[in-house]
Amino acid sequence: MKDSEHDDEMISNLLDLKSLGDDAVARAFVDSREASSPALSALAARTSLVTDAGPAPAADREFMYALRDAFQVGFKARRVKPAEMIAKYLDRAMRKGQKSASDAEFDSLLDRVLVLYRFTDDKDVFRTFYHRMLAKRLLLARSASDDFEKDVLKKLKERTWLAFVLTGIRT
Amino acid sequence: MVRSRPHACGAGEVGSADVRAPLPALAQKVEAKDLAGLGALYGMFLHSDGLGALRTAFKDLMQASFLYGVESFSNVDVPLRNWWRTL
Repeated sequence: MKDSEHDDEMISNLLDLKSLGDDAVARAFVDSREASSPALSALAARTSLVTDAGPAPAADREFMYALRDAFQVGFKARRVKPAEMIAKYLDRAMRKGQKSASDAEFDSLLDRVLVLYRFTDDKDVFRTFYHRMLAKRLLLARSASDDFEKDVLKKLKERTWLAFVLTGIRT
Repeated sequence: MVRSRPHACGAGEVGSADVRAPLPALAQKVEAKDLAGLGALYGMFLHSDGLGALRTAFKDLMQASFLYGVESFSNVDVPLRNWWRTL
C-alpha cells in the first residue's frame, strides 16, 4: 500500500489479500457451535464454500469484523491513492473486457473490486476518477461491454445510495 | 497490540510454542497461506481466554500486510518481526 513504485499492482495485491483473509475467516476460523447467519452465509457463498452437501459451518463473526477493521485501517495508510487506483483498475477491466472469462467470473471480479471501494474514505476521489474515465470510455467507444458498464453503475448506485449520483447518465 | 498470554487448552497440530505467542504462529501460517494450520491454531484457542488475543493478532497481521505485504513476513528488516519476537 505504501510502496508508490508498485501502485499499479496495488489493487490486484489487495484483492489477493482480501481473498486470503476471506478464506481464512470462512474456512479456518470456523466455530461449529455458532448458528449460521445470513451475513456469514453470504460470505461463505462469495468464497465458494456452499457445496452440494449444504452450507459451510458458520465462520467466527469476531474474526470477520477483525478483517473488516484491518482493511478499514489499512486503507487509511495512504490518502487518495487507493481510491484512484480502484477507479483505474475498473477502467482497465472495462476496456479489456472479460476476454476468456465467463460472464459470472468477470462479474465476480467486478464485485470483488467494488467491495474494496467500501473501505476507502475518499469516495469522492473515486467518483471523480470513475466519472472521468467512464465518460472517456463512452465517448471514444472504448468500453468492451455496455451491459457490464450498466451493471457496475447499477451496483455502485445500489451500494452507495445517494452518494453515487450520476447526473445525465442513464443506466 | 497483543500483550496477553493465551491459555493453552489442549494439544493440536500446532506446537506448544505457538500457543504462548499467537502472532508469530499466525504470521507463519498466513505467510504459507496454510488454512488448515490456521484452523488448527483457531481450534486450540477456541475454548480459551486466548481467542481474543488471536483475533487481535489476526487483525494486526492483516493490517500490517497493507504496509509490508504477506510475503515480507520473513523479512528481518520488517520491524514487526522484532515485535513478534518480544511477545
